[in-house]
Order: sequence, then C-alpha cells, then structure tokens
Amino acid sequence: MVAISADTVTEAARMGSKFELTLTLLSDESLVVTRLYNLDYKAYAPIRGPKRPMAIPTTFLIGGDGLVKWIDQSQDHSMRSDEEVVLAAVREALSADS
Amino acid sequence: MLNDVSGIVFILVALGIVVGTTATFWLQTKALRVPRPVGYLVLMVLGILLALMGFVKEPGLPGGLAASFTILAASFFLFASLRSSLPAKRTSAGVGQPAPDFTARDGDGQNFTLSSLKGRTVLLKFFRGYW
Repeated sequence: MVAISADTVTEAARMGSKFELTLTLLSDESLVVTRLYNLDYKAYAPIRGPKRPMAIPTTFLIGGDGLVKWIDQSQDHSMRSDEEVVLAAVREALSADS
Repeated sequence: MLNDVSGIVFILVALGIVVGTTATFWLQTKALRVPRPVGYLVLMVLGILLALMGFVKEPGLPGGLAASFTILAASFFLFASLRSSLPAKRTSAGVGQPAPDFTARDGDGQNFTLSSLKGRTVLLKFFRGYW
C-alpha cells in the first residue's frame, strides 16, 4: 500500500510517525507524479496557511501485471474513499489473482 | 403573545438542527469517516426554512438574533459544501491501462519506484497531505 501527497519528505515522515503508519508515504512536492496521473488541483485554499496545490483524492488498485484494475475518485475534498468499498475491491482483486 | 412563543419554538428547533448537523459532520470528518452530504444539506435547508418561519412571527430581539445566527451558519455550511466539489478530471490511466511508472521519495528520503512492486497487487492512494 502506497500513499502519495504533495507533502515534503519532512512532512511525510512527521505524519508517518504521528499516526504510526506502516504504509509507504511518498512525497510528491513538485507534483510530478500527480501531474503524470492528471490529478493536480491548484485552486484550493486550506483553512490554515497559504494556498497549496493538492491531488484530487484518488485510489488506484494496480494488479501484478502493472495494469490499473480499479479507480475510486472523490468528488469532494472533504470526502474520502469509503473504507468498505476499497476493501471490497482489494478482496476481489486478490481472489482473482489466486 | 402566542405568535411570539411559536416563533421562538421554530427558531430553537432550527438552531438545534443546524448546530447538531454541524457537530455531527465535524465529528465524522474528524474520525475520517465518509460523511454523506445530501442528508446534511437537506437538514441545513430545513433549518433555514424553520428559522425564516420563526422570523415572520416577530420573535423579538433574542429570537431574531438566534434566527439570524442559524440562517448564517446554515448558509455558510451550504456554501462551503457546494464550493468543495472537485473538478472531475480524467485520470491519465484508465481501468485496464498500465499505471504510469514513477519514482518519488518516501518519508525516510529513500527513492521508491512503482515498478519495484511489479508482480504484487498495489493500492496507490493520492491524498491531500498531512493538513
């Protein structure tokens, strides 16, 4: 499981230790990866601090062959992918593999 | 006098709905659950209507202030909810297409390359960031 955001390496490390995350947290500060997937979104102003670019919250499920199996995209930045929906897709993908 | 009382009741109910909805929404967002926005929006519109009904019954200064607060809070919630929708952008890779390979640095400053996980199922999540 890999999670990527526009956080700097330091911010990613701080978040990883704060929430004791075991997944790989990636820093895409320059938005190279976000633009590669066509998910950059600029005009968002957070509650605190200056405006910063962000990715449209999106979950990709990628199979062992490197092909995208499933995509879940949020229509609202206050919403997240539904845990059960994601888990169901993962279960289906894993059972199809074996 | 009777009119005054029913106006205050309308306003108090409206205030309760708006404050309760906001608190529930905030708590759910804090717990990283997915709020279902349609129900919240309906409740907020209901709150505005009730407060307006209270207003026409001339509730006096405290009632008027409470009604104004209710309408302002609910309007802000509706405005923010409508503003927070994201543009629907097509992802560069659709279902069945290869996921573009990339290299990015992880929290330890180490390089991570997506293709290093080839042969394994990967859940790749783009998220907002720590804030």
